[in-house]
Amino acid sequence: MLKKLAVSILAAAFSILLCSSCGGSATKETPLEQTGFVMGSFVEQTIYPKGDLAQEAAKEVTTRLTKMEQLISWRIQDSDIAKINQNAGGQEVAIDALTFTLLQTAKGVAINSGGAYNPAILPLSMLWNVDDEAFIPPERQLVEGLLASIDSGKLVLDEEKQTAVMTLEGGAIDLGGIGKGAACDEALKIYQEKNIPGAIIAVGGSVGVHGTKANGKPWSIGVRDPKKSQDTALGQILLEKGCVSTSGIYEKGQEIDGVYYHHIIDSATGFPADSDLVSATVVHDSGAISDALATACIVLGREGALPLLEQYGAGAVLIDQNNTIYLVGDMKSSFELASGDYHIAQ
Amino acid sequence: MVKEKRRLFSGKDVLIAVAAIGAAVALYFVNAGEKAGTAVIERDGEILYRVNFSTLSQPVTYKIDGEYPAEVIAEPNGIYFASASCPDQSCVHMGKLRKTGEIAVCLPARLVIRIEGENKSSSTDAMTG
Repeated sequence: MLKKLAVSILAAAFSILLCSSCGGSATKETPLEQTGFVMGSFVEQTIYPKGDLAQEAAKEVTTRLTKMEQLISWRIQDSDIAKINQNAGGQEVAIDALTFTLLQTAKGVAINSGGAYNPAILPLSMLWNVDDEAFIPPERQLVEGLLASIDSGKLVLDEEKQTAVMTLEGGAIDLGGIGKGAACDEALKIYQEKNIPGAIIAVGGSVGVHGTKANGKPWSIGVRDPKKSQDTALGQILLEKGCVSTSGIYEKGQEIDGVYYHHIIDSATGFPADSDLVSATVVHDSGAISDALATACIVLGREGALPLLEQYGAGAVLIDQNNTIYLVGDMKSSFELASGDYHIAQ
Repeated sequence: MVKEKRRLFSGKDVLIAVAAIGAAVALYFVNAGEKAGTAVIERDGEILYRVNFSTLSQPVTYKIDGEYPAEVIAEPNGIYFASASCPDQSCVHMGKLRKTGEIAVCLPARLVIRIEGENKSSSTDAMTG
């Protein structure tokens, strides 16, 4: 009888211990969570610890990202990019320093990737308009007719004057391919300025991390399973700093007459990219660069992507059509696979 | 006859102890993900409604106006987009949110429903993809 009592007390003490430890650490780690929308994407900020400083930083991020959208969205009349597009083939346009820096970054990745990432693809992506409900594949002739209008080399930037001009008439710039990553960069700058101990921001599929969580563990970022719903991860990346972006052909795709069409257009052919990769997750200190490189990887395929990733010192998780995962750079030690449907290439 | 020395704990006792501790551990993990206290319905990051699950005895419907009107239903054990007039319907397909940290987003309507709380059920801090 006594023994049974002793056992029960032991078990009760153990369960109390478990519960008290979970309660204590959770209070210390409570973050502020702030949601919002920018550039057609969902924004989620998680800032540690919850309080006035976190609130102030979250608000500042929301304000700065909205301002950024006003500058770089081609859809917004009077944005810097809209002005460049309206003046294509004509006059130089004076632009904000942020727009200028982003155009420089975009042009750099365009050159280094041989056009696999192309900030001047807008005329063609508008023709495709894959995410339209009433999507019909365009005629080959129309597609090929636009190949001459998507040359990002015709975007001329003048650093001294802070101006830009698309010298090609009918040409048009779209920074959507780096906008989400660039939004993460802006947020991280603000967290730094405000001395926030730890914060993570997700803008669409791009994520940026700053500082550390209260428990000192690295941030854990789930990599979406290309074959499952949006909130299902196939594994996770452990990240201490920088940004992660993912491009995948599973997004905004449509199947018509047995052919799968997706939104990542290959500038070389004018058609949706047809490489061995279905998803590319790229890690880099710069969110804008990680975003642009992720798109470039899908177009280039694994073999073509490797030298580009190496040039930028970027880590990557590349997934091909046979459910094989290729880990590049840092990701060899920072990625943990959690799904049995995939295997990591040795 | 030599009487066998009695040990403080017999095999059976250890079994009971292990079972009790096991139950405590299981209870802890179940609780961690399901401490659904409150949910929020937000538009553009501003909270429209805060729902306290413990005060609900029957479903409550929240009608949300706007360019894409939506209907959110809160029940004692969860909250979900019952309908939305957006084209993609992915918010409705998310189904019922039950656990802390779960979230459903309607991008066209700029609406979010999420369950607040300290112990997130998800092991990741964010998703990429």
